Amino acid sequence: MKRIWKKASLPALLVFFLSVAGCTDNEDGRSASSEPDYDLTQVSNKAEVSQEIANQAKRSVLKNEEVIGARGVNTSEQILVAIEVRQMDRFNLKKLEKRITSDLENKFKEKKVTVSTDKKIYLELDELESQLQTEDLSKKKLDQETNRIKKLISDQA
Amino acid sequence: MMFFWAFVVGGLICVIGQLMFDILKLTPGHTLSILVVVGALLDGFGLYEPLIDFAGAGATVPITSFGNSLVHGAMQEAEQHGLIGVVTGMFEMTSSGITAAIIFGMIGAILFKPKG
Amino acid sequence: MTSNKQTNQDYQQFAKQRETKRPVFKNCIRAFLIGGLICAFGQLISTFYIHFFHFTEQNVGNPTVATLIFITMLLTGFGAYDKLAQFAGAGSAVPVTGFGNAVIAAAIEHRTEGFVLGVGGNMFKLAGSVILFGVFSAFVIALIKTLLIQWGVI
Repeated sequence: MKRIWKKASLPALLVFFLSVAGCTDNEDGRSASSEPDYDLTQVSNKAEVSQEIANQAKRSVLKNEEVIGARGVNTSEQILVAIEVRQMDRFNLKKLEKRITSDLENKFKEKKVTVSTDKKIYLELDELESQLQTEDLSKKKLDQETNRIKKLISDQA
Repeated sequence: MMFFWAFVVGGLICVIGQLMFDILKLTPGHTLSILVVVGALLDGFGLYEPLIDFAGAGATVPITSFGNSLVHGAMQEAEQHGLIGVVTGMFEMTSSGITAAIIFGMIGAILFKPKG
Repeated sequence: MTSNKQTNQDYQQFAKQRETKRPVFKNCIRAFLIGGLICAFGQLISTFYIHFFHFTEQNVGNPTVATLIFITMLLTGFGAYDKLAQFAGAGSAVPVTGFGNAVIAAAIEHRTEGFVLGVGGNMFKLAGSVILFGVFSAFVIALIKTLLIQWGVI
């Protein structure tokens, strides 16, 4: 029993690792940045609500050296940004999150800013970005989706 | 990257446990109790959350996280309801580990026969 | 032990001698490998839940722990966890799976004495102290911290 388990577990683990690691490309026409150091996508303004502000926010967030990736959307009232942080800076994740939130708040005074470092939010925003890029997402739908993702951030259980 | 650090940090916590077994000659019961108290203390000083941010499951899977989340749940509730929250919020975040152990313990007892 | 009176060099020699006698170093390597693997496996489960279910990094710990304990139940039931524990020492005891194993093994073992007195009465025989000291220390620490915050010290 144990022997079989031992033999089978290693390849299974490897396959899983690879499959998890392998799903990061986006083939939806968002322009990815040419910088190899970080992961930035820009949604072009085909969508009903212009994503120019979110694009600006992402670019400014990536100026922090701790941040290696950014995804974000904006609606007419708010900006929602998720960042990926360099591994060694993850010890100060909460502080960094606060600092970047206040930076963005100063920069975009007229909007409500939410910043998250959570992987789940990053993935959700990535998907929403690609929806914005490829299909015509109505303003209402965008608001709904943004609020849904925002709720995930404060979800404790 | 996260897997690597989960491996290293989780492994190191286990090495600490092993050293307590071998060098201090503590029983597993004593060792685990001490580790839980250490986890609770670390969270009291606000040091355990950064470790979780850094190592993910490397910090949440070892038993030290049990102490951490007990304090965490208690503090969260205490912020809202004052002192009484310390008692009422204790199991707010830890419930799943104990619940799972009880449920699967019962199911295990029904499914499996004791050996020997 | 008299080692703390000796000089550093002596101590190192002393430690070396002991190392060969008792396999502390070997035990630690094993604990590191198995404990690390269990945590990496936990990370794998977490990543899976984050990608395919509605869990965030914040709350993914709960389903991860529950899943690990479920797997522990199977391994304990088939007797595999015992063998793993013999090999890994603290590597299989310190992760939450060790806690699960203590509860589940006690439950299975005492089943012959009936469900109320046997399973119910002995379930937390080993794991009870972890819960006791965890809860009590957490209570004291949270109490002190809350009081300090209320008095405005921190």
